[in-house]
Amino acid sequence: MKPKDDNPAQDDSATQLDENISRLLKLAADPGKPGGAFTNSLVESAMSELKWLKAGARREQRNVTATISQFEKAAAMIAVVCGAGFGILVTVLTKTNSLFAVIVLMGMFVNWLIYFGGLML
Amino acid sequence: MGFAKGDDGIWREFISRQVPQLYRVFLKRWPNPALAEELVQKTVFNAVRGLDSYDPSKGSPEQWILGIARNNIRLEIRRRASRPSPNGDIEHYLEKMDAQPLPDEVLERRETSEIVRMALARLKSKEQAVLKAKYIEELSANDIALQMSITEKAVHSLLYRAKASLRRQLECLAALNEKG
Repeated sequence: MKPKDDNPAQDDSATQLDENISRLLKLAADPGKPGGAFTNSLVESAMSELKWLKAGARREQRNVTATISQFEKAAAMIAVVCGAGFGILVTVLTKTNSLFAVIVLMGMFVNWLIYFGGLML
Repeated sequence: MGFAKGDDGIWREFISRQVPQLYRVFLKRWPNPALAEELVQKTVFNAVRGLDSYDPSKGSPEQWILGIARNNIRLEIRRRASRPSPNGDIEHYLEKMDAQPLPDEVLERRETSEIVRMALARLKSKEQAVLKAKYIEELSANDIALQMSITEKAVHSLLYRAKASLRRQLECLAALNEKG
């Protein structure tokens, strides 16, 4: 009569029995060196893991680079706008010979730079 | 340095070279090939995941992975110490082998490997071949079918009969061992 269940991986008991038979038979195998299938499978799994970890590290690095470049863009825009405004004001005020106003404006500009710098950091 | 950066070629060669050596280290500690494989696998994955912790100034990659292996031996010793040691004869554990895992300590007894060798020798040559192909060489049913020139269905049937025969022989020999 044909066996009712000849597929070893169909239920838990078959899996447990398989696991135990595997462990017992390995005792009878040539000791001192691992099976070829085990070695190959382990090398391949470890290499996949290594590739995955390296890809993860690269992704993280890209995110950090992207954050830094966004910060730099914003800082550059603020610097350009402030620089242009400051230039215009200094030119106008120099023409009117108001030295005091120029000094006050320069002080304001420096304070704004410090303020923006603080916000960014 | 290629190793510290995780160079694929260097790592592939390194792992291939280290697996047999680590296996021998664990087997020397516990005569249990299944456990040795489990610990080798754990050590290799610990090494891959802990690649950033490798410091070339502290030693070679071989020394580094051996350090990880030693740590896994310590963890295994601690794991064994924290659970009750199995007492009772081999027969008792073999009877329950379809429901619960055989304890490592039972597998590591000298008489267990002797019983397995004797039980295997009592099987028909085809049954021995299919068991070795499936559990030692870890071939798929399809590969075994090709190797033995039979159908895949015949492999499953043969495997089923071989497992039942092996189990009978194991229980019989274990009972004799207890009486002897």
